[in-house]
Amino acid sequence: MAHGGTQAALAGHATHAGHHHEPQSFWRRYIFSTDHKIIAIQYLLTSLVMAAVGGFLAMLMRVQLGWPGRQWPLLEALMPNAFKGGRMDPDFYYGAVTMHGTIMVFFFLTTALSGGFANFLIPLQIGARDMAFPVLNMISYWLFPVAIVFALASFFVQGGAPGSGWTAYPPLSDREPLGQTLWLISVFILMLAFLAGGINYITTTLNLRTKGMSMSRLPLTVWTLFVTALVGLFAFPALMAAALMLIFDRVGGTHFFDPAGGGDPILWQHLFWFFGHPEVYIVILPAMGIVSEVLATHARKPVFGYRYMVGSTLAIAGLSFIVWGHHMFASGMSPTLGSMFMATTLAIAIPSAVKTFNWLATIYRSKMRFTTAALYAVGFVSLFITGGLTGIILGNPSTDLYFHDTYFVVGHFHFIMGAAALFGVFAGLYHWFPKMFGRMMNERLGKIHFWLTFLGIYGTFFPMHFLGTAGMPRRIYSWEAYQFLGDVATLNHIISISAFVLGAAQLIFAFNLFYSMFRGPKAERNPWQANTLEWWAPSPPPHGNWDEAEPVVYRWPYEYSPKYAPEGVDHIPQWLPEPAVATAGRDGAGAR
Amino acid sequence: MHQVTERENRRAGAVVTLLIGLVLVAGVASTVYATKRWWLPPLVSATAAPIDRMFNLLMVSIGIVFVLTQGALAWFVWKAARNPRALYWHENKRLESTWTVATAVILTAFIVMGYQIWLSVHTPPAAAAEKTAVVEVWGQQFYWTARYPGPDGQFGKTDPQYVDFKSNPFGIDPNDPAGQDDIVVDGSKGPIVMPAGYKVTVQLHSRDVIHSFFVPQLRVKLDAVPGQVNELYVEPTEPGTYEIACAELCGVGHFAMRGEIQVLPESEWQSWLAEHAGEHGAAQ
Repeated sequence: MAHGGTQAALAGHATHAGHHHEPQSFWRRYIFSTDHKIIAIQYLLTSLVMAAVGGFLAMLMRVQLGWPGRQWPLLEALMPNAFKGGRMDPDFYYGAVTMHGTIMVFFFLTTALSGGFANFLIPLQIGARDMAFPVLNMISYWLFPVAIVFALASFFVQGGAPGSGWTAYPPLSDREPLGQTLWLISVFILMLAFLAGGINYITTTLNLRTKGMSMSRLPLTVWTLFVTALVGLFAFPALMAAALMLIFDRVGGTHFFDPAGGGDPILWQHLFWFFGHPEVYIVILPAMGIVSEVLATHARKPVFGYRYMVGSTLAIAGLSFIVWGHHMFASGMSPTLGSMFMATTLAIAIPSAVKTFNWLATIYRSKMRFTTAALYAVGFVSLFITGGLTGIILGNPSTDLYFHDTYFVVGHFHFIMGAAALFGVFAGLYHWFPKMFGRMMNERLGKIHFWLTFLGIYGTFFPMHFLGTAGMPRRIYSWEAYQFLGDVATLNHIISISAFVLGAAQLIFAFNLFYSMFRGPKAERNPWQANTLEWWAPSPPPHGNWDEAEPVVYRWPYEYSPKYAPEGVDHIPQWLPEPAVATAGRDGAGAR
Repeated sequence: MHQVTERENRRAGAVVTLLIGLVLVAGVASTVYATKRWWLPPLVSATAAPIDRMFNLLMVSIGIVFVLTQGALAWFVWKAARNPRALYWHENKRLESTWTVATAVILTAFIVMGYQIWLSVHTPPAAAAEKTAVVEVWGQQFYWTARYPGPDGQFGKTDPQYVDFKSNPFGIDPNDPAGQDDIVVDGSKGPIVMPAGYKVTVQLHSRDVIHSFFVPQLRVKLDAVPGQVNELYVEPTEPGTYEIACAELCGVGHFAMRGEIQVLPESEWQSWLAEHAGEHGAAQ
């Protein structure tokens, strides 16, 4: 039944490389690699570089918003076009707004989670030797830098980066200069990359599971990555269609979105948000999976409510396609339609709440090892609670009418799809770094990084809710002209300073990452004494993953601290057969 | 490899508890402080009073949940650093279904309450209501303009062929008698006027890109979308001057698209109408 995957894996593999690999050239091995782990690391590192670019743009925006109108001679010297006469140019500001959003959502979070972690974890955690389509996987990665080139090129063409925001609402985006077309092409190519990746993840998860790995034994990370790929399969084409139509409008003389030619600007919003809302879950679901996994491992306690976790993942994925209208409560939609979207939006809060309660129950009466990965997982739960709760105010259209397009929204979504998703990435990186690079990260630097990031994020995004209650619209270059805003200067100073602390803290991470990659202490096979299959492979795993036969799976992945375990053993890995449990030792080394 | 003593681990757990506790205390304290300093601007609209009540109810509810869940998280983390052995406990159907159903019940209550308010703010004033007024508001890069039907209560026809940006920016047809007394207000030069105590229908249009008509003190926000007319209904209560902001990114001047609404007492409204009848947008 579900075990059929093994043969497929072997057969598929024998045809392409086998696991007795001949020495490969540097190019074949690290650049144009078909090894899912190398592709994962390529995706991760590229997306981290993009995060640095997106973060830098955010810092520039906070310079402007913290002290609008002030002159910055030093910044003028560095970026004369952006800071004409020492003051930030509003045109540049709106370009930064657009590119910060685009880069963080598409080029960092989606690619890090659905490109990096999905590639690394799916084959390893299900006991496969590689993805189902390794060459397609390589193509999927190489489309990503092409998309980046198009996106970043928009900064250097006539008119600069588009200033229509990451949502690119027409008719404004019809009227933007050339950069907008480059932006649309970039997004289209990136969606192609994600689709190629998604097809791989779905096929691999369904077909290449090793013997014993039934769907009900899948680690939650694989569950969420698999469901995310399914969501993407239905969501990305909507944006691709919309992007293509807008490209036609801009360069082909059509009028899909332009009322002057019989088009409808609201059509774009429906298409965009039919993609855009599932996109939020494309970002947060894998982070949820990673956190569930990391929490259980470091808390030495089974994930609470495995079935509810899987069920809520499926429920969120399904509901995510019928909530998009809540982004359009103020667009003039019919009140009846608005009521439907209110009901579905608040309904999606139920599976989200279930997940939160399950994480709390997992931490309850656990024996936590406070590694950096564990800290980030716990931090994720705190951020998810805070960000989720304000969603109830925004999901209610009566109150949303005031908060729509204010900083309250900015605070809310930065908690969920900015900060919480970021914490998912960090939890995953600190947790799987030993497996990826065969070395350990520095825990002390990691903890300092966590404290500063956690406080920096709360200091940056929590006060944004107060900007929202005061009524400050989002995407404004300067708030000085408005009297009703009163004294938001103080808030904006606090937010900007917190943001700079948050940004600076990431330098510690960058140092730790690259230093540990080359100089960290060597990692064992299973440094965290975890149960999932990737820890059975060597660190780092060779091309083909398993130095012997594929592992066989005997149980679910969360057998931590079971009552029947012998003294001194607090986990029973998935690959350990029953008779071996008694003599296995701490991580089943005796049974290998 | 990963050798951490029991004591170090407890200390790390204590730091996390402290951090989450700090978030809990600072979150509640700063919110309470913000209600005095950075909260919703004073309300001057009769239609929007239920919105504020709903908001207060939601804030109190999520505040309670925030304290309980973050408190539980901090407490569990504190204990997790000290427990001798983790509990093998991964399922409790009763507990799980209880919190699922409880969440659903609370959210359903919010949906029902919010639904009524949402419908009420979208209900046009009844034709029988005695005090009504209509104003047509146009957004364009980067200011607001308004047109009133004048004392006769009838908008005149418009036609692009009559548009003259100096004297007749709306292109009001000079041959249509209904349009003779129409009033055009250029929001970049003076405030858009509304009467206090009237049920005012605002018909929103856009000349170029999407804008959003946001008057925080009236608690109204609605997009002005080119090619369609969106209507909002508002009943201003207090005479005074209130700011309009644009809430939808509409180009590089978006942040400066500030306008003003002047709410007049009833008597002044009538004389304003009489005084300005027939002004089609000539420079003031």
